[in-house]
Amino acid sequence: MADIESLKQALAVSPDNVPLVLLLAKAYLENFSLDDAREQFERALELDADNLEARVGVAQILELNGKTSEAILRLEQLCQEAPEYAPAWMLRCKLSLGEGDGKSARKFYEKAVAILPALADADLLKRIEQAGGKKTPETGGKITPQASGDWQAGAYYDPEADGDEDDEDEDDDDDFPRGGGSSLDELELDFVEKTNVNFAKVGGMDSVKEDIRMKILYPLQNKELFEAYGKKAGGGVLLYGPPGCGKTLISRATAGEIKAKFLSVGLHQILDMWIGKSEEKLHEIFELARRHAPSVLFFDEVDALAADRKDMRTSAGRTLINQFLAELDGNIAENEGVLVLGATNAPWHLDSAFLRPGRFDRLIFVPPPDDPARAQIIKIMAEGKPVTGMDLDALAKRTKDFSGADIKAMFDQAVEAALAEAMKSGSIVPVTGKQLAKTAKQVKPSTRKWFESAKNYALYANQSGFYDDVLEYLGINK
Amino acid sequence: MEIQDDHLNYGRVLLQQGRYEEAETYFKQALANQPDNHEALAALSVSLVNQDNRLKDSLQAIDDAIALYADHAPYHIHRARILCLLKRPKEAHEILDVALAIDPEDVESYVIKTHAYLVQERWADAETWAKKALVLDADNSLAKNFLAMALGYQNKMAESQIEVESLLRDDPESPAAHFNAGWAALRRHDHKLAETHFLETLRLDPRFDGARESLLESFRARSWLYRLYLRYTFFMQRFTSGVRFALIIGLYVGIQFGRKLLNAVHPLAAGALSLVYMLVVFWVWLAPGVGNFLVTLDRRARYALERKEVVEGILVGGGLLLGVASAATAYFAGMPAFGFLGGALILGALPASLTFTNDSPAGRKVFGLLTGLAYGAGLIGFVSSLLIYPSKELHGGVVLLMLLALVGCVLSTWLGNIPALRQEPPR
Repeated sequence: MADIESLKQALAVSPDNVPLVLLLAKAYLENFSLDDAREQFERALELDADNLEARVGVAQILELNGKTSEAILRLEQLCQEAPEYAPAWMLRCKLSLGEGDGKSARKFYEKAVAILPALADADLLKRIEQAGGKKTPETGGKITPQASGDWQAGAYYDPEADGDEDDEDEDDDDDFPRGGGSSLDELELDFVEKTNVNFAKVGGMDSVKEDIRMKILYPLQNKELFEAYGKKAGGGVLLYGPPGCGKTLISRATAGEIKAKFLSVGLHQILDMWIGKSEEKLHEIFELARRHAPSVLFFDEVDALAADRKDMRTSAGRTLINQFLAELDGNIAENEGVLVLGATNAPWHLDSAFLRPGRFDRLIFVPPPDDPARAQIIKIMAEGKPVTGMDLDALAKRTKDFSGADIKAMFDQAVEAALAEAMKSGSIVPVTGKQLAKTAKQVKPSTRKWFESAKNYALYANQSGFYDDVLEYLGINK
Repeated sequence: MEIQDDHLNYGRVLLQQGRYEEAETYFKQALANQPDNHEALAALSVSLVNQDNRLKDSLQAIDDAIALYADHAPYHIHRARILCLLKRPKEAHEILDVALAIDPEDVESYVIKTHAYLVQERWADAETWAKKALVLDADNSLAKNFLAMALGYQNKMAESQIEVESLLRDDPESPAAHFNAGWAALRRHDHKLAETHFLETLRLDPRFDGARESLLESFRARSWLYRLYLRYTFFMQRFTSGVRFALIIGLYVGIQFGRKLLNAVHPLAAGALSLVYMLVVFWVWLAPGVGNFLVTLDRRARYALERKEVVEGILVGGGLLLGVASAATAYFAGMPAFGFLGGALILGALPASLTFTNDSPAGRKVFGLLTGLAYGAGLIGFVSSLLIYPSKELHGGVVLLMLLALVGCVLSTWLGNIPALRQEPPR
């Protein structure tokens, strides 16, 4: 690794030297100094706006900061603008893999390696295959009944898309399907046919699981009983809570429990600068879920799509919200068998219309991970790292109120310290349990800030009892 | 161009939704593609001004936008708004004069002028400019809110009430209108009505931290002693900070003079005057902390307190209570050790009241140190006196430490008037 100080000195002499700036950025990145690395990558972009390496670097940092959706959006644009730049495809591959979407990961991997064979990575390929990213040469990675095992026949099979491998990456608005025949790739949805995650694989969070059983699973399993009382199973459920606390994971696990197909939708897959296009995309996504019921349609950061219309200064945003409401209501088509899950860190930004009966009328509060959940997260994070003398239970207790992201920050800092020692000594220095415990003291739980905001909403704007669970969690008995 | 517009548009959508940090990223990306895009720079500035501790970055961004498009009044007005938030009202006036030269009809210039005068505590000027803004746009709610504030600060209660009622008629769901109505009620000593308005403000906008603090004021005002303190602050608010300081000095000099006069009549009368003066001074500093302590005792109201306010309440209010009890024990039971403890708790309440809720990091350190000194001296005095009493006198070092603590605590009432030790440095 290049020495940061000497690079800084070199840059002081030649401040506009883009390759030097990039070297420094990468040095910071290797040191886990993410803010400094990002600053340098952005500086490189100021000097050379078209620098592809810097753009990939920024995306990588976004991903490391947990802003995966934004990283994906940036990479999509980069791949559209520079389709021959292999590192961008490779990073997309890794992000898709991280999201559990083995099929997309495989597709991006193949693109990257086709452009630059030196990027071939047997270990990565193995992990992609373990995540379900088998090679599907006859469909070019598109999902077909053959590839998808026991799916409903023809469910995602688009005969016109056959052999048309590169279409999904071309940004040709005129080609966007107007009818009901959109494919996952065209909509660029994260899709898991049958998610291999279920409640058993999610550590802790027992109260949330029980809440989900009562509000989602039992109604679906006892559909007839519900119908006898004039109630419908399905509909919408809103998961809310501090960021990085497992809302997405528990949503996937919910889909796994009901053995339904899982479609994950992010802001970047819907928002479109062209008037009317976002609404069209949203409709296509609902249509896709309806065609393949039973399915779980998961909207991450739903507050961005269902924002309070009072906050909107332009009518464009309002039209999208109205479309979303109409889709949820089933005014456009029946939503039978489609469970809509929304996750948000900022439920207070949601338009109140979304919380009316038949829409997101069931609320589930996802608090920070409890002791067993944190122990499991710590165990997973320790995998593949030279960690010694770690008492999982003790560390879990020390990380009270920590989100998954906070625990990651704790590991990053401890690893950084061990790396610094290793560089001095020239040999591997293990990360000790003591070191992790010490680092845990330095990391400020990010969930506290969320609870500061949530507390005010729960205390003063809780007329409908929306935030009762938050009050209970905070031990406030009003 | 299309790609850059895309970033700008995504950013604007996020800006509308109040997702300022994400919007910032998109505007920066737009600027990476086209560094001379003044619209992206201005939008970036807006995204930054709404984030904690990013005012200076926001100012830099709008400066860059103005450098590219100097003839656009809204950019100058936005710059002036940032300067007001940075407590640099004089510069705000200068830039607003530029904006007015470009577009004399832009009502926002008049509104921000009002804001700048409010920052300067020049209430009469603020009233004038708010009225000018309302001549141009009779429905401008910000101008109406500013006008109500300026009138309230000048104790023009009837006029202020008219404005507040008009605001509530215009938009009964406006948090700002309820906020102003709350303060108008508090100035009329109607703390119950103030509480209702502040709760309504928070129901409409729970993120409005000023409303939470104001709600606390109304809770504290349930005590008649605290209402006396509020009367004092409302009286002092009519003046600029310079005049206020002059009044404090004048009062001190006046009391010294009065003491000399009364001493000639009877030493007890002079002592009584000194005692009253000290009680008033102490109460001015201790009232918020004691108010917080009283709020902590209320099962429902205490949830409005932040952790730092709870700590302050316990140390100041609880400390005073315990201090008086200790002092009484010392006097009635003849146990001087408790006198040291009581004295430390009573005197330590002064710097403690300036430590936990102080916005200035330097102030927190200075007053925190003085609080520690007071409690430390009291504890050492207590332990030394218990262990050594009654056979020996206190060690000279202990006496010196206690004297130092005493001087430090009294000194904190003067240091508390230094703005740098009370206000957060703008970032």
